[in-house]
Amino acid sequence: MLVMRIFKWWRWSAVLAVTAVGSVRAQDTVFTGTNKGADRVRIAAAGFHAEVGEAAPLKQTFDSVLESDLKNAGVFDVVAKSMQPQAEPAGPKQVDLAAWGGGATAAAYVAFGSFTAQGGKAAVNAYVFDTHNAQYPQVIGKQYTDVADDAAARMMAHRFADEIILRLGGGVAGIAETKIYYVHAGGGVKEIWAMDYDGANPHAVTRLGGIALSPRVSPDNSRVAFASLDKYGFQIKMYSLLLGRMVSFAPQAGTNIAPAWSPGGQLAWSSSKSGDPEIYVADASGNGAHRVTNYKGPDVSPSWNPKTGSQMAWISGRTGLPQMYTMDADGANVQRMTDGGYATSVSWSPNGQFLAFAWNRKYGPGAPGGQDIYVMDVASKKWIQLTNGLGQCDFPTWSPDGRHVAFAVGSGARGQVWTMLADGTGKHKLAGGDMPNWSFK
Amino acid sequence: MVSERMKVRTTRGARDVAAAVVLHAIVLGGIFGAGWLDHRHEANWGDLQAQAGAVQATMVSSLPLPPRVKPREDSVLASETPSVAPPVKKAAVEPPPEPRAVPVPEKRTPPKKVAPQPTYAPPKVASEPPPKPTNRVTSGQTSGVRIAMQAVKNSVGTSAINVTDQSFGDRFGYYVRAMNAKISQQWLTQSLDANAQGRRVYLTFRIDREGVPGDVRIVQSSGDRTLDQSAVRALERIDTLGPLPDAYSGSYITVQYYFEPQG
Repeated sequence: MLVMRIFKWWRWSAVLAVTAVGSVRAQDTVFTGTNKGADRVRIAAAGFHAEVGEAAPLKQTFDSVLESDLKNAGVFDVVAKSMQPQAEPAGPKQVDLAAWGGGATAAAYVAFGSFTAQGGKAAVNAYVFDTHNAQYPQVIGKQYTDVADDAAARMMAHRFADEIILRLGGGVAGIAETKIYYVHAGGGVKEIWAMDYDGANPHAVTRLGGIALSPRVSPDNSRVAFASLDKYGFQIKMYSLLLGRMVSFAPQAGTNIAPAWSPGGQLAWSSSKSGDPEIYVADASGNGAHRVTNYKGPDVSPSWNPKTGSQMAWISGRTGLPQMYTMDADGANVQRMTDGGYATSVSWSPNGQFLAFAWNRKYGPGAPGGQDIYVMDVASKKWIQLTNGLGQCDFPTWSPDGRHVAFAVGSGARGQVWTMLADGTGKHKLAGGDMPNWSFK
Repeated sequence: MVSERMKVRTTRGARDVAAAVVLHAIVLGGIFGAGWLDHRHEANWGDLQAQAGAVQATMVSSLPLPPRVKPREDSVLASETPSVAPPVKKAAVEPPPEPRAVPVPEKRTPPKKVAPQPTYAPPKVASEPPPKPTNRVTSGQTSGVRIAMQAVKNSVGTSAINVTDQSFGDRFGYYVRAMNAKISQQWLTQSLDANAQGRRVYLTFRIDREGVPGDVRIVQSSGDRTLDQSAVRALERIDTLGPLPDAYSGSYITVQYYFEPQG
């Protein structure tokens, strides 16, 4: 039977080879199928080998960041430290694959390597080996060098984690190197701040000494648009991350809030220059502004479809309480998405399939429930609730891999930025802040 | 006369009371009856409701996250992120032989004679040796310089034949596993026909260097249209399966894949 089947595929490959000859340089054939069992990938992260001295504290940072990145990724079953061998193999010769792949560890893959630091330079030799492939165990072999400090060790761990997620997680790039921009309130002012995706390294971006709201980072990570309150009222402002200073955005009449970038670099926002808040679209400098909504009642909080750039979701109060709508980027084809309640901010998922939004489903005095984060499938308008009982949740924002959603709990100086997997698991707090926005990459 | 009137009054009084009771019964019956009629089709809290099914498995499974592992119910440490470590097996210890035991001689059976099985050798594509160089002058009116295309073709042909499952799968097992997981995740089986169970559809497709699947073709239909279609859709739904391994030198791989619903 087996022989026959092999023979069958042989014949098959022969046919393929004949048809492919000439047009192809080389190819391989893989034969596989479903019902072969697919679960989370079980991976073990060994402590990296380091000599005592300069490298020791940095190696601790590297190890813990790598482990937390793999745990946060949502696609791995990371072996607990207490269940894996204590060995810290420095290279391929020292690693005992049987020990990592068998027993209670039972990891399908093991990440290990060495961390050296000398004279202010750090170097990491990092490997991932397949424990069940004795002949060709190597999956990843990488070398990273940087200056020897804590931030650099953190960054190298992020880069290695992203490489592992790309190779073992089905080809979706990891998010360990991304940043989250948010509003930090304190001392009577609100400024735009940024932090790493895991909540580390929070730092100020703007120092305007006023009220800055709803930061949105551009698709190429070069600018941050936000709404700022000054003596002319609310205006859209632009901060260049490359130049480290404010750049111009044409001033508009009326109240201008809630900017949103299209994947092509256009900006949509809500402006009341006509007396009624409507959605406007302009280029990144505020030129060529034109109105895309035209209906009595407020239209705010636009969010582009990042996959196509040809659609927008936004919040409109045209029928009373604010509801979520979608339309084409030119304002045609308006569709109402929520059937009631009180919907606020909306964020379109990177693959264009889902909308994450904040919704108070039974709004009114004495109504049960509160404002929570929901995800809706755009095509079928079916939704799931992701948060419950955390408090007032608002401002969801998708990570660029579509596997995570960050959101704000509470508001003002007591607000907190939280993150979770897109199926609602793994919720944890990142930092104090409000109105998070996940960078594109 | 007086007693007559009394009697009339009492019978009248009894009739009034009876009428009042009947009237109350009708009113109460109406209230409860209306309530029952009104609410008999409403489900109680916690009942199964068709409307509550706004949450659908299809949607969550198309999030790019793997299915969650079910917690083991017999384990007191069941959690959201269970660890599926197997228990360590104890080595079986043989009891020591009794001191006066005489070993039973084993019966020897002559080895079975097995007829030699015919083996299928891979069809070899003969590579022609390049023509021997001659001493002829290659300038002037010759037919020009020719690259030995034949040899290239042959090497491609042979490599395509020889390098089947074994080579790529052994060398880059992790890629095949990740690919399997991703395709399984994207395969939605809700639309399958009832008689698709236990059937198998064979497909081939290509994965280019960037990991984009393409050129999806059904090699052998399962005989069930819903199964054939859902298999093709699963592949069409995938943007990328991840870039091919750096160590792999080819420009693409051909994958032969089958889909089989759980019987």
